[in-house]
Amino acid sequence: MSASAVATIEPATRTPRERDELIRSLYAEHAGPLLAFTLGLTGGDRHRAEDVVQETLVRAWRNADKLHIEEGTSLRPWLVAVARRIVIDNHRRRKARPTEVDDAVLATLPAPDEIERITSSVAVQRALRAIGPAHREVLFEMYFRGGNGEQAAAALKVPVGTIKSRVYRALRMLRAELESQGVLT
Amino acid sequence: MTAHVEVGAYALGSLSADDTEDFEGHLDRCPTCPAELEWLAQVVRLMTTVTYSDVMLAEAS
Repeated sequence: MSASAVATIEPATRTPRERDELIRSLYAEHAGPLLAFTLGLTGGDRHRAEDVVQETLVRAWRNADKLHIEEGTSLRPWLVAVARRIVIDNHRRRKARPTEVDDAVLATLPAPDEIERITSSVAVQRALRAIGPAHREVLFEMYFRGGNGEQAAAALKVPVGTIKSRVYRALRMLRAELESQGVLT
Repeated sequence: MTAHVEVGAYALGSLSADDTEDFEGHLDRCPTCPAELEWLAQVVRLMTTVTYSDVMLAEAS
């Protein structure tokens, strides 16, 4: 499978009516789950989380001409990444840096956030390898491919109840791995 | 099976809109799920540092 199996950027012109239809379907399909995800990032602050979901879906709508969804795939990973970006940007804006810091010097160094992101990314990838294929593939279907329980059940040919308990166990196993790596306590 | 295990899919933002609504009803009443959700959300926050292509590359290698 190639990376083009996710939402790819492709020039495609949509009529205003098609764009309206798109934003309606984005809300119907993604607003609830995105809010659940964003609440986790805002520490349960529902008002802030709702603003982030709104901004995410508006960005999707603005980029409607560039977004192309292939059969059997989901925009969810793209939306989750955008929502995460917005939360981080909002967080940065709130704690504005002191003005005496020399921006030119800072610009030559990777941002602390970026170092932290890479460290976390390496740890999670190591943990994903450790939890074994059955649990890895259910996270792959439900998170990285952005499917819901029914879609993952169809892809993996197991009952949806099994999928839900397996994804629960997979997250607990991932947590245990990340704790043993000292990334979470 | 109880609604408790749905906390995993919920933390990932992967429940359908209907299931999300049902689970949030459970979350309001359940004595254990809110803490479990926060516990798993910490994992999900770290997972957002991994991209789809990172995972595809790992599978290919």
